[in-house]
Amino acid sequence: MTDERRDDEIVGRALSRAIETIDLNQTPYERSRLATAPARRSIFGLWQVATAAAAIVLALAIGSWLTRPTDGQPGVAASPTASVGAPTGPAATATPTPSPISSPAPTGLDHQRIYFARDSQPPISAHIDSTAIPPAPEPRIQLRLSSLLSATQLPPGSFSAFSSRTTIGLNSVRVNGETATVDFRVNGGDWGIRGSAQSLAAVQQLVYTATEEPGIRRVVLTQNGGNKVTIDQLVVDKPLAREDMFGYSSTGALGKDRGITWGGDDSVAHVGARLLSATSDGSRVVIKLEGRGPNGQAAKLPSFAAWLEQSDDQALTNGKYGLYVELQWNGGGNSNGAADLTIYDQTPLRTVTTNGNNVFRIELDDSRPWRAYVPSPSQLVIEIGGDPRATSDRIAVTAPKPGDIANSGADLTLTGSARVFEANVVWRVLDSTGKVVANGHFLTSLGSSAVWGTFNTKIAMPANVRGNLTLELFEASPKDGSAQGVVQIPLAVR
Amino acid sequence: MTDRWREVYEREYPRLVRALLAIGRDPAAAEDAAQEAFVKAHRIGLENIEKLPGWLLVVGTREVFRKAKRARREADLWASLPPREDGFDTSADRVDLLAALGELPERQRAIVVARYYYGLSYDEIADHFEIKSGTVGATLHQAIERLRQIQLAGRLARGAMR
Repeated sequence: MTDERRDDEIVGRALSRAIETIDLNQTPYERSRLATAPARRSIFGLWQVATAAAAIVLALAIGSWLTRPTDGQPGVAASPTASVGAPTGPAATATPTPSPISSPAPTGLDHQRIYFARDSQPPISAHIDSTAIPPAPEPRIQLRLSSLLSATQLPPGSFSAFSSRTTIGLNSVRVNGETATVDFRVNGGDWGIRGSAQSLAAVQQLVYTATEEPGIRRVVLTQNGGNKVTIDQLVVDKPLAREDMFGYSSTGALGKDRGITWGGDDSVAHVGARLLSATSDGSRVVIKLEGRGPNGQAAKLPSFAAWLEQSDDQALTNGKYGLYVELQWNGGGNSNGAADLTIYDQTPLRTVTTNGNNVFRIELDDSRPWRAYVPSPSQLVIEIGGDPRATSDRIAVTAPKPGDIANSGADLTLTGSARVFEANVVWRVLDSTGKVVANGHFLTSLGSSAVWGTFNTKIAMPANVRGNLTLELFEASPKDGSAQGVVQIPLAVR
Repeated sequence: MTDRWREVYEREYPRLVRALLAIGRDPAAAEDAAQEAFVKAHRIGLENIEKLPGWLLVVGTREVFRKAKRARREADLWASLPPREDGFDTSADRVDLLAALGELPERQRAIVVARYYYGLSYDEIADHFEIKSGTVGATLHQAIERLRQIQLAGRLARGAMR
């Protein structure tokens, strides 16, 4: 070091000591602006959900790295074998409990999942135990599919089109952009699967399982070196996405401009909303939110917007689609809410992320139809999916359920939600020959609104008509009275 | 998250306020700027900031200068600071040094504090303050030279008054 620099250093150090002796009245943390800062200050348009989500992902990654257990981690050298977790074992995730982020939480979605079919329902996933997860997409897809073909333990209420008797093998998996091409080895071209329900289930299971790989949205299925897949009578000759196979008559509206907006009470100094509950039964996800005032008390909902978007599912905590809920920030309050991420991994609900105040993002497995309704001025319900037979783009019936037993001549309670012209829902009951045996109409709570209206009403089942009947609900087209958005609920009437 | 922020706050806050006080010479502004810097860091997220101490210093400094421009009352406030009575010949030197620091151009003040009080490397300073790393050394030397002169002048003046 030159003399000059040493002299500078001496003055510099003296200065440093001088600075260190400056008296301070230190503001304690509790009274600092930091302690009272909103988790992320956000108003419409200014807050980038994706950025915050990335930050949360990072925080989680760091957090879990810090608390990483030293054992129980998958090794890297083991062979890529896999088995399906027993439904009652710790690995089974038929009804996993949400993981709080404070404990050693997973850092992202569990993609070691394969899909099983259910009667008239969208498929449901289960975790597979793998001794090692291959580093490339192709072998990962291959691992999941071969686990699926040989799966013996199934989530409750599900079935698999594949069994130990099926002798299907995997020839190859190729990935090209968002499409995976999977070629199967089928002895004699016979999959050993009979009936349309089983055949459809097989394709559904393969499509959902193959697209579990992040970045993959479509699957081309081929057999015996590039030939068309033919399962019993079912010929598969085009790339398939989950939405082609989920069983709903429509897909959820995509994009912010096709979302749902609501003019709420913006006179309250809101700090957004809190998540009351998030549940999934495999078909329907129900997210309940409650408006929140400046002191954390329940308050009337502010204005909000909700919309569905395709997600970049290569991000650790993203599913295929994200449903955003942004409540108007009306300033003046501070929730002390913490930015939070909860991983559910319960088909089709993957994660719920919040900035702690007014923005929520619900990550999903597919773009099944969804809706939002406001059962009370302070409550917002986001509902995704439902029984495909009882769900259309404008009507969703929660009771009766398909297959329920009703009594001839008695009242039948109908509940659900709808967004139809002038709030008017038309219903009719058909007998097994398709003849209308009863009909009528009722009003939902809201008409001509982006937010859906709800209904809870009673209709009289006709006397002296028994057997397998079908309850239909629909919107009568304002143009020509034709039936739009029909749902058909089979009932056993006695 | 909250506990991590508390930890960061309790570790970094005193140093930051002192540095900002040395740079800006306005206790209220220093405190304010330090609080602002933490709030900004919080908004961005701990995990998105690579070197937090330096980051806080730069953001705080910017804030102090912004405030200083709004209210040109530096000298008065600095003069109103109570002199420390903790002894010997050094306290006067310290006050001299701090006063001398206040005579430097704003940018030099910040760089000197970053180097000697925060112990940031030339590269880090160049990075944070967005200047060429080659000019950090020269700027520092220039600033210290000036400090030395001002301090000497102060000492001479004090000696003359005794």
